Amino acid sequence: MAAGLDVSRTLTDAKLRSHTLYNLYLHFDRRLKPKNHPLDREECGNLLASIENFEVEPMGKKFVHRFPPEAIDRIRAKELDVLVRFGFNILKGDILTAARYGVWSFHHGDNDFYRGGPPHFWELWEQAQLSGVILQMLTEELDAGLVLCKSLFPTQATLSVSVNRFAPYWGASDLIIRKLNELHRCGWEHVRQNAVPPAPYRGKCKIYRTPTNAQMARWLVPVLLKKAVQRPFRREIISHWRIGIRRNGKPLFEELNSNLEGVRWLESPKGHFWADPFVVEHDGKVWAFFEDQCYATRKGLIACAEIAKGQTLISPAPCLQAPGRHFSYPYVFRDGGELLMIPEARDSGTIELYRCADFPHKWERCALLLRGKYVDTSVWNDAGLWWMLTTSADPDSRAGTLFLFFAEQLTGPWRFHPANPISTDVRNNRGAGRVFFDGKRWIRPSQNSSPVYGHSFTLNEIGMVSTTGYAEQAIREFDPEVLGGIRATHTYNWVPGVELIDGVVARRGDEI
Amino acid sequence: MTEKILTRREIPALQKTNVPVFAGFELGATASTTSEKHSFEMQTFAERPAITARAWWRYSGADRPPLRIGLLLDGPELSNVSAAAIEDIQASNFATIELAVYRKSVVTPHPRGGRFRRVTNAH
Repeated sequence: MAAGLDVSRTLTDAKLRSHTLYNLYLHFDRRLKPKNHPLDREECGNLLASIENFEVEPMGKKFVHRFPPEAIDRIRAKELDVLVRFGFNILKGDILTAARYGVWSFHHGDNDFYRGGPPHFWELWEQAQLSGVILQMLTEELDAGLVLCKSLFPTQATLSVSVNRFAPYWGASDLIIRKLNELHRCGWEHVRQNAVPPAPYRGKCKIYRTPTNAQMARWLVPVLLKKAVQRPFRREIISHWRIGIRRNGKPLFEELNSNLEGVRWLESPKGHFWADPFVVEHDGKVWAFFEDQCYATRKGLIACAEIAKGQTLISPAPCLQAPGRHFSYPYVFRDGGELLMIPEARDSGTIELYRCADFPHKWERCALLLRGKYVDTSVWNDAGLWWMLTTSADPDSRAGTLFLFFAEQLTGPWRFHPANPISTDVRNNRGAGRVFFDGKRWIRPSQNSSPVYGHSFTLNEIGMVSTTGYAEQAIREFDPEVLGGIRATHTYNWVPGVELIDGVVARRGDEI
Repeated sequence: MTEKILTRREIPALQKTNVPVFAGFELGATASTTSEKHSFEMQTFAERPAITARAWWRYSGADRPPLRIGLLLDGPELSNVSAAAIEDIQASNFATIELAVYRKSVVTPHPRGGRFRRVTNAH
């Protein structure tokens, strides 16, 4: 419904009237819109000022636009490689072939399940776990073009479509430059071969449309009623992370059907939670390094403790902290005789390497590996090269992409891998522990943040990594349900005889 | 030089060998080591994410003519994400925007009415 229609038309036009509830919903949804929203509009006259332009009055009725022949001729004369669609309605006809490699257009929705619109609304309505975005080369059939690439994001636990759109819209905003880059470096045949293979459409509707009043009522009334009834009895429930230790079990990667029986869960001090545990052997003892976050300040520091025989921690104490900074995911590893750490510190806008100057409590920053907001960085050395997997977190980690870099020296320079991005799928685009060699193969633990952040982890066998290619295959997906009472688990680390994981339990606010 | 990147189908067949290194830009690349037109100094656009991660895509080492890009737009007012995508193309060293095709604006009557009209026409 276009802005500017008068109320009498809204009331007299049955079709417009049938979407009144949806329009009311959008009106209130605007209040929930996050800052820096990807769909906020801005005047871009300066950005476009130097570009030759002309206006076209499209032919066609309703939602389908066709271009008049003279406009097609004018466009063809420019010998364009790609036309990028940021406006107009559904395009059909000669415009689709006016550029050498067609018209590229976003579709905000996973086209295997959602064709039509409104974008990312029906994912909320149907409680889908994923909200996708594709970049497609348009064809005559709606949302069924050649899918050049796809990104998948978690559907947010919200009623707000604006909130649900935030991560997918920002997270997919680089798809165009990425595929243009690939087209320039490798040619169209490569882009075409790398396209997402077509899959049968599995959406519940053939084409999704603006929800009717009945559909809005069917969705909102039960949810709002439930909220209203529960409101007087509402208690604050916190997702509380804990660390679990298992000793002398057969490692998960050797016994793939294991449910990690025998994990002992540790309680953090009141007002804190513990997560992201890493483990390292030092002088015949086993030590844990982990995130210790204070609920009040919402800042994490890196703590460490020796793991006792009885699966407890001996005198946990901070080993890396700085005023006002947040540290987590202490990726501890060895390079020769040296003990090193790459903690997550996305608020600094850098990936930094720390060296252990005095075990275990004194760590010194020794190198800047990469600039930018990244999370869950993993490094390992194989075949004479250092490899780094890290996830972009710009504007936040929900919009992340997994990138691979390589270097001859750990301190760099790090080179951007040509097979990037390694993953744009929220189900495996973040690290979940140290990349390790089990004697036969390299294994990368990854997080699955769908349906909720850090829901589960997967062990992936790295089938190959070279300076031109990367491939991995999942060998075990570990669901938190098998741990009993655990809602999510997103870290797995081990040394011989000791495995560490973490897990979320639901706690009342006064219990933590 | 055209770089060869493996497709998903080719990767499993590749042996684990060191092949020539990708001629991408390295950490610490500055304006002096890249083209004058496109500095890779970190920059942040107001109210948009920093370009640190997306900047990786703005450079191509292939020795090919730049891609010629056209835009289909409803007007000069764009969403943040569309503007960011256009900025990426303009900042790249391998693509130029040659044409912008605007949809001819349809004159609509000036909106009248009060709060109820605005609510019922919220979209």
